[in-house]
Amino acid sequence: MNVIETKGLCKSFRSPLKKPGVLGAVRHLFRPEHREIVAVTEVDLAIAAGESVAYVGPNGAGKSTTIKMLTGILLPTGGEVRVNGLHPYHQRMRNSKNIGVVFGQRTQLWWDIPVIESFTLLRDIYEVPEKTYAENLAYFTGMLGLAELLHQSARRLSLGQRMRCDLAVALMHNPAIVFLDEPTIGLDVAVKERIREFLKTVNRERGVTIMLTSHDLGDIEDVCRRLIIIDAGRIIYDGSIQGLLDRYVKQRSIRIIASARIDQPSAARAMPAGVEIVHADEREMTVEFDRFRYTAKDVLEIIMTAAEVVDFQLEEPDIERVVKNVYEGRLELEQGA
Amino acid sequence: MLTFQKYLRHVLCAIQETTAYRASYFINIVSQFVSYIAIFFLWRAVYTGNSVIGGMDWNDMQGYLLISLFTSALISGSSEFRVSRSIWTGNIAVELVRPVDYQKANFSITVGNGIAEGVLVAAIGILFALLIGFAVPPASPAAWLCFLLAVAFSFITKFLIVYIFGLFTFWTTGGMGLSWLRRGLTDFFSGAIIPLSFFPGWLKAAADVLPFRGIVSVPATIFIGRLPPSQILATFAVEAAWIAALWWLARLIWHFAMRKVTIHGG
Amino acid sequence: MRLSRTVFLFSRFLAQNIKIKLEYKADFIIMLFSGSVLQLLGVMFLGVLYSRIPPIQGWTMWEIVLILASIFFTEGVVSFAFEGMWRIVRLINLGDMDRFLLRPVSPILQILTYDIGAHGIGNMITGVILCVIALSRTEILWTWDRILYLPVLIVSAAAIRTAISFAANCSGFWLTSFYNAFPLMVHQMADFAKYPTTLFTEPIQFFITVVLPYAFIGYIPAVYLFHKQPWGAAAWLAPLVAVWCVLIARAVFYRGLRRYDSPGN
Repeated sequence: MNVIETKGLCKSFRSPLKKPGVLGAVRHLFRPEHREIVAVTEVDLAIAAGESVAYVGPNGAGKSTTIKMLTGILLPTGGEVRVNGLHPYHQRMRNSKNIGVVFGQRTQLWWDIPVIESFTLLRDIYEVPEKTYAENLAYFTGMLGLAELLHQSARRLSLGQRMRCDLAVALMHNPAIVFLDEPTIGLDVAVKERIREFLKTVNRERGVTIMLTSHDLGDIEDVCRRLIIIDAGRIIYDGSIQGLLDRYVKQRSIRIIASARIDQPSAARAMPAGVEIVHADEREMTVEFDRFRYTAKDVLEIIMTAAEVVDFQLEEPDIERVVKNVYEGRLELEQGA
Repeated sequence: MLTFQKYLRHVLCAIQETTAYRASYFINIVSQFVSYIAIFFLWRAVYTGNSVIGGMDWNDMQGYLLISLFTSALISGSSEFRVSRSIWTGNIAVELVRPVDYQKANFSITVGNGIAEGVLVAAIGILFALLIGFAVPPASPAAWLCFLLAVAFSFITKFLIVYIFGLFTFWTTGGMGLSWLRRGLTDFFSGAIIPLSFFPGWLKAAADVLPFRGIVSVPATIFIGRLPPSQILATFAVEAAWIAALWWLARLIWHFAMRKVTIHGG
Repeated sequence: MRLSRTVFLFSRFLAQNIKIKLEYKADFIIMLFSGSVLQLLGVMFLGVLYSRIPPIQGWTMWEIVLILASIFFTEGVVSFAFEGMWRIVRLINLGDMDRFLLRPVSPILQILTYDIGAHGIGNMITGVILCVIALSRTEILWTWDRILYLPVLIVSAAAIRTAISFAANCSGFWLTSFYNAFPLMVHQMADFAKYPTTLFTEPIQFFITVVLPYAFIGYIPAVYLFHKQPWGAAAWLAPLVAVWCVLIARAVFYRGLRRYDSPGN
């Protein structure tokens, strides 16, 4: 069963168009011009219960806009959308009981009161039964290490502490889906690690569907099995992380250390088409090769004809590089690939 | 010269900013008039059956209200809002790292706002005055000069009072209560809604020593020719003294505010 | 939403807000003080005015003070309980409306209770004191229906004011400037209700009776209570007017919400 389903989802905004300078400002006063900004267009999503999905794309690609439409904050300008079978905007209050949301730069906590009071207030807002609340509070306090944070006011918490509290808030009412928009932004490695562990556990143990946006590919590889890439408002890839690599990463590389000085010109001559030296030093060399034409063994054998290899290291295809290419617009993924 | 240009740039930017939001701009202008409409009709009702009250006839009163409207439009709510906004959004930190004097920069911005809004309000006001055919303008060039000078004094005085109240936002969470208090006090003691000559003796004595009267009462009474020429110089001297005092008071409060910012980290 | 749940959550939010306000004592005291000072200045204005002139259109000073005091009082109630509506522009501009939309509670209730106005307490206190003084200096022939009318008036007037100011603040959905004078302007138009409506020209009379029915929070009830005019019984329309205003305000909010573009992130 799909808990999230969209068909042809679109959202565009109207933005004023202004010419620079005082004159431009005065002109806009009397003859305003606007232009249409398309944030999201023709987005089709089908996410099943229990999945963990990473939603990735450069800044301004439409990630947050999509999440905001799925959570009922924004009204779509076109297309269909269903979350747990409900329309998130028109049936917002019912939908909100089924979802948990974490925005990395926002908090659900009340700034000036102790965290625990925010929790109880939210318990009343979500009408969480006392028993469920007590169980969840104990569970989250243990997993996220909240014990010493609960009696401090939110404004005294560090970003990482606040994010841990916000995660607990998002899951307190046992939602079926949790949306996380940049949950690890600005956090240190230890806190990131803890949050990823937490997300994996609730996904596994409680079957919570996770949809996550992040610029941190560590989050994505660690937590998610499925990857959706959006660019300029369109979905350009939807599939497994391995699938993306298989399809779009042609190159693999091998780094070797030789026992003696490598004769660079003759080494270069030894390389056939599709194998290329990308970095060379006195006794060190990195070679990139088309992984669909050659195996690592083939390449190693070729190198050994030119150098005395004492050690080597194989570098696996790297998701980071793929996504970076997408961000920089260098990799044109096919629509619907 | 460069220093001057720096602040001129603030003035120009403020004009642009004020007009940046079309609908808001026009609404700001309209809202200037609304509260005066109620006051206008109240006075009209008061003057039916009374020809002269507190030494002013209905014609004087209309001219007085016109100037009151004009001077209050020169520094509208949006300028007042600016100072407190940058404090509660934390934007103050950005403004602090710039190599400009905060007080002077704010003054320049207020001048820009005043030009953008005041010009239109003045135009509408004068048009309105001509249509109804009231408000006898000052007779002599000298009186005009005094009036314009009084408007300049009014502007600076009001800016300083608004600015000082704005600075108190450093110690409070929302600027609203303070800005209401400020508005209430200035409106009352400046003679914006009721001329000071109507006040009972003790209250008038109080209003006369306070700085507020420079904002409305002085320019308005000069405009309608009810301030005796012999008193004008002395009045200006007192106003100038108040401006100097308020300018340094603002500096002092700023100094304490900065100490607070550096302790609390904004 | 069920009424009992609304009331429960309202009281929860209110209690929470009071706790928060008490954390900022300086703020609290300034607000309380400025609320009272402002109202006293309003009365001083009337005092100065009336010291120079005979009754305006047959209304004595204390009769007008009573209108004023009742307006202060409801204004106090509204600002104390529903001050949050004055934060709408900020909530929209900073994208903070988001979290209200993520919760299974009416966003309107969450906005209204987002803040409380400490100055409201000042207004209420001054309002009550002035009411008592004004009542001792005016003569009202208290019939049973007039006594019954008082609670109806307070509730209706509070609802009318809240609805109008709330709807005016919703203009923030359309006017995206950080400073929006429109709600304040609409709020200020309540000034018209402080004086006998007959002072104004007919278009204005029509405006404050029909378009922004402020006449129902001050002048019309006063006409009724003081037996000034036979049509004073129209004051009993106040609850209907209140319901009408509330429905309009609700519709305006949900219309505006469609335009909300959730800035930030």
